[in-house]
Amino acid sequence: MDIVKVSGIQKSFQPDFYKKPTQVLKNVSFVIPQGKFIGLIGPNGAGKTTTIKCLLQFIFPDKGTIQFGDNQSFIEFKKHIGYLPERPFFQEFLTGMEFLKLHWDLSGTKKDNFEHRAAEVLELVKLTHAKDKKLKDYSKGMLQRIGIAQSLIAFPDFLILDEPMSGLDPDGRILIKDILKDLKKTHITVLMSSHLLEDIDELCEELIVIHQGECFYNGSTPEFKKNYSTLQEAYKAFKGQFEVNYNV
Amino acid sequence: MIRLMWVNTQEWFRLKFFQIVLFLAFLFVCFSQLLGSLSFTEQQRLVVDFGLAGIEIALVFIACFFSTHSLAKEIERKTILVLLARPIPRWKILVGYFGSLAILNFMAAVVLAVTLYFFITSPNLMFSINYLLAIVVIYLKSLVIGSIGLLISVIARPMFAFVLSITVWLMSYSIIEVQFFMEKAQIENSKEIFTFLSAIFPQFYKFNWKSYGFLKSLINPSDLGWAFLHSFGWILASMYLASLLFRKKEIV
Repeated sequence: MDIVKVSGIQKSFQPDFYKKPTQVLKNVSFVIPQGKFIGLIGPNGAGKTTTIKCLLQFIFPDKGTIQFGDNQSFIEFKKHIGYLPERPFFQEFLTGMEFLKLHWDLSGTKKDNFEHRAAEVLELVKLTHAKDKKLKDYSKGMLQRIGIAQSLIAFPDFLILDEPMSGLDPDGRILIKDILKDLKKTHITVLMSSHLLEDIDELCEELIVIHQGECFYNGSTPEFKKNYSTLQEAYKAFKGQFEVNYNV
Repeated sequence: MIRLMWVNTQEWFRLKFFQIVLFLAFLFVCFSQLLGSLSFTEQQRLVVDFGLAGIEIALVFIACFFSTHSLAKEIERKTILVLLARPIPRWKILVGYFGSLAILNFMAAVVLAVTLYFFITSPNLMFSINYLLAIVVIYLKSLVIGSIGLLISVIARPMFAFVLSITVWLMSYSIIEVQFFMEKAQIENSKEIFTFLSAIFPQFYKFNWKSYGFLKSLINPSDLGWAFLHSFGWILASMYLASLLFRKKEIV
């Protein structure tokens, strides 16, 4: 079953009224099957974050449709979403626990075992020791981890992670990767955008490849890299082919 | 929404800006006592007039700054993204900001009003009730300006929105003077211009009770009712419009 169906979305931005609009998304269509780890890959400026922003309705596509679940309303659908933004900017004056409580309350979850759930997610992201520390005293890696904890706090079925490992040191990356591996065992649906192809190769069963605002591949990762040993090689070959086809 | 309100209030309460404005307003109110002591016959008048003006300026300044900067700040720091991803309609986020502003200004109004009341010598019951009503009306005016500031901040940059909000506040007292000058200058269609200005700006000049003279006489209940309805009407209309605009605002 597909939990999200994106059909032919297009998006342009006009930085100033006198400037020509730039088309960031030209034709993006893909489906997100339930219970899979899906990697969203593409070079800088390909439209990965714009696609995620369209999915979450931070911005609105000029054309195309996004269907959530069985034609659920977006507010209803958001009850099942967890989201980690590209840069973990959160309310710095809150402690880790207060931050999770804020998101627990905003998620409107009817379950009333916050303390238990908070302990669970803090344990998962290895931040139990820092739960009473203010977020301004967290390191970048810790902020990324508390960000993952907030995205998980309300028992989401679908997690959207925008570059969860960008800007982290190797230790931080390993830790986040371990958390994601643990999550994989829970059969939660995850859409994860990343530049780090080894991580995507290791974690994701499905792949969405976006290049210059167009979606070129939406399918299984093994299928994408069938003639190559690694995702990196397959992606390199794809780019080479793209440049030949489009005379770039 | 209550949680959001509380978090915003906490954040702004910790800001140096709020603390400094409150401290300056406190000094201003204390200064009214010093100014009053320079006069033998009009001591109370100076204390009350100067003090109430100080309270209104402080509350309006806080309202303008808070309302025009809270949304912009969240968008700039990207802290709004995780809030928007939660299953709450966007208008609730705006109401959360407005609620925080109401709490902050309530705290400021209480501190300043109590301080000023302390400087008024032997107020009788009617004066005390009128004084309370004057403070409530000042508070309401600050909320009206705050809601207008929020509305402008949805479509404009924070500093521009701040200047516009202050302009709205100044115009809401000056429409009557504008009408007077237009009539004196025999400008054509002055009536229509006045009707137009009255429609696009709140009419604070109709309930400008922050003076000693007004507090000594009984405030007409129908005037009071009009002041409340007018203020709530403006708050509701501004918040409704702000919500409509914010619903379709793109958070890039």
